Amino acid sequence: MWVGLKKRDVRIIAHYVGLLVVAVGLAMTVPLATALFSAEWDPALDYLAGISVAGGAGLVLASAAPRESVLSRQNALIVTALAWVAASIVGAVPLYLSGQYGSYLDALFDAVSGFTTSGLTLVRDLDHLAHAHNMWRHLTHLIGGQGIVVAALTLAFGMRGGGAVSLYLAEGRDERILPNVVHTARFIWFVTAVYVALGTIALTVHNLLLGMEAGRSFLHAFWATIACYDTGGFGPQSQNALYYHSPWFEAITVMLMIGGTLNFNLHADIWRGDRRELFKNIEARTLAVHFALLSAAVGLGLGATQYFSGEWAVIRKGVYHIFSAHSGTGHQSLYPSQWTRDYGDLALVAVILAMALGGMASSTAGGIKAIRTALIGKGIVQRVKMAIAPQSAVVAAKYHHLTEVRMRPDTLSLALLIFALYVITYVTGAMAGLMYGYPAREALFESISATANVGLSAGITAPSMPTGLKWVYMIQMWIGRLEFIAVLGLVASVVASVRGRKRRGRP
Amino acid sequence: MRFLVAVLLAVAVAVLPAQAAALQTPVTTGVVDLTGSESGLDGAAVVFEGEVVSELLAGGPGHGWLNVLDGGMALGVWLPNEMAREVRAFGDWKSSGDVVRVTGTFNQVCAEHGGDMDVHATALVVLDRGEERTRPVSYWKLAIVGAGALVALFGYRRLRRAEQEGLDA
Repeated sequence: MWVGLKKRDVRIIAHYVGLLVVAVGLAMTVPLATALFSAEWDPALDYLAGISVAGGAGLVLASAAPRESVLSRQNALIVTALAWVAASIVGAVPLYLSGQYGSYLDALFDAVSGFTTSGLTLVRDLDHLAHAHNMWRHLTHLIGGQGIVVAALTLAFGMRGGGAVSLYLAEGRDERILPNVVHTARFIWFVTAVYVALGTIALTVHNLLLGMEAGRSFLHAFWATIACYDTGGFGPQSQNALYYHSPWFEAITVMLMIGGTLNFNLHADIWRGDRRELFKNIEARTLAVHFALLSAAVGLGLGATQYFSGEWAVIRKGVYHIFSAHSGTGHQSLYPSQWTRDYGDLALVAVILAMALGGMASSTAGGIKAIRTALIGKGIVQRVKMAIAPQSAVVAAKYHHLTEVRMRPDTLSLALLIFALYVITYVTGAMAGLMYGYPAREALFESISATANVGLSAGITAPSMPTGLKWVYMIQMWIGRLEFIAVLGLVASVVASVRGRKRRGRP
Repeated sequence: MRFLVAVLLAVAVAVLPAQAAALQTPVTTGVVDLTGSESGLDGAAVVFEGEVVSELLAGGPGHGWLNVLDGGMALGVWLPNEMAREVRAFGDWKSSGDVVRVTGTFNQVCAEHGGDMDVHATALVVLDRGEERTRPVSYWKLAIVGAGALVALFGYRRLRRAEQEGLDA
């Protein structure tokens, strides 16, 4: 039965969405401080305006219900789906005020892309963007990568009521590393802080050795660390990773990408000293197999091309992009036109597959996720075994994922369902690109990149792209990040509410 | 005598293709053309102009990288450090960078630099010095700040009232 929303539900949902919007406003104090520190006075006003708009809109929404209102599981799904939209709407305000976006829609596109850790961008003249705006663009990766709800939970921001657990689960997270979700959220941030600190130090030293001035060295290092660990993909320069012309930059960022694509539960086990889990875990093994096969494919593919046949080129332009695509980061050291012109079909397919398959569940990565492909593979083997086994035999499939698990039919069917939804969305987005007249390879590449929150671009994503396609990619980034269920729950609830109202209105 | 010189030149051009490229008249182009669709200029001598948007980045013994922006796209230029010292300013939010004319060999996929698309410069001329940009403060944005603050105050008071009255009010 479809259950519509009652007025009470709407008020509670508005309350929690409002609190999360206020939290986004508070996060804007970081770019505000950056602007003041860098003597960027006009951008400072952009962030004062952003904080003010987020505070105003958030508090009005929050006032719809008192604090500590109990949030049901269904309503938590809707809050989560709406929170990402609301965060993007207010997050786009300072970007739009920067004057470096063609329209508010373009700024919204970047905010959606930032929060969903996609990395596709419509900014104009990125090479002359203020530090404050670069800080905010990258901070959206950090907030979105950790999860907007996790970010708010860490601060125990207005979540003392019954909403914390429901919201946490609704954001598509299943880590219960510690008994309390607030403590779990704080552990996630602790792991992130360790990676961000190490990455920032390593890249700052790298940038100093490269010849960059100290302040820029630190800022570029911090932004690149966030963009890679949170598998985002934004960069402070239009050439993205190519700006540095450095294999060392690529090596350090690949390490961060791998860190970002690991399941937080796995991080916790490694942190506790159980490194064997890394080798036993079905998801880690599957991801390793994906990396190996796709790296081999990209090597073979590039080796056959006219241009990228050297070993060094295969590693820096082939394997690097497999890691960037598979982790969902989207850092790019090629020009968009090169994907379909110079890269060769086999290598291109390997990168497209890497984007589509994605990283691990409960990480900052997007895409189908390794655990699902592993479960589907196990399911296929189980089916074959059942087909050739005696009729009376019981064929069970087991796997190791943190603990020994016996595969249940509902686990497999959910994995297949999400897999199917991703494939449908990839194809639908590609069809939209084709309808706007783009070639098939570019349309498929960009659609998968948006849905899997990767951010590699074959050149379609640009300020001049059709408005309709901007909306298509924004929706793809949003539903891909939330793995469909929260968004479908929102749509179903709204439809049921409207139908219920119509029914009640009939004589 | 002229005939002999011509023959020797022809042999040199045929035997030494790299030198032949250097002898070509550079093709005047832009970064968008080089990085966009097939330019047909791989390995050719090119000349283009643009704004420097990076400090000199290390590029191996005696060499460095400058990134040059033109038409919204930037391209890496690999050049000897002595040549790069002509450049004093690079562009960012606060200032514009030196505008330079670069002459060099265009590599669609540079075997020497891990497959980067780049230009190996043979000459660089600074056409225009970069300067500080004036970035006026848009005080009208204070109106948004004020309006948002008023709405926030209204929302905060409503939230306090909702706390007192409860959800069923």
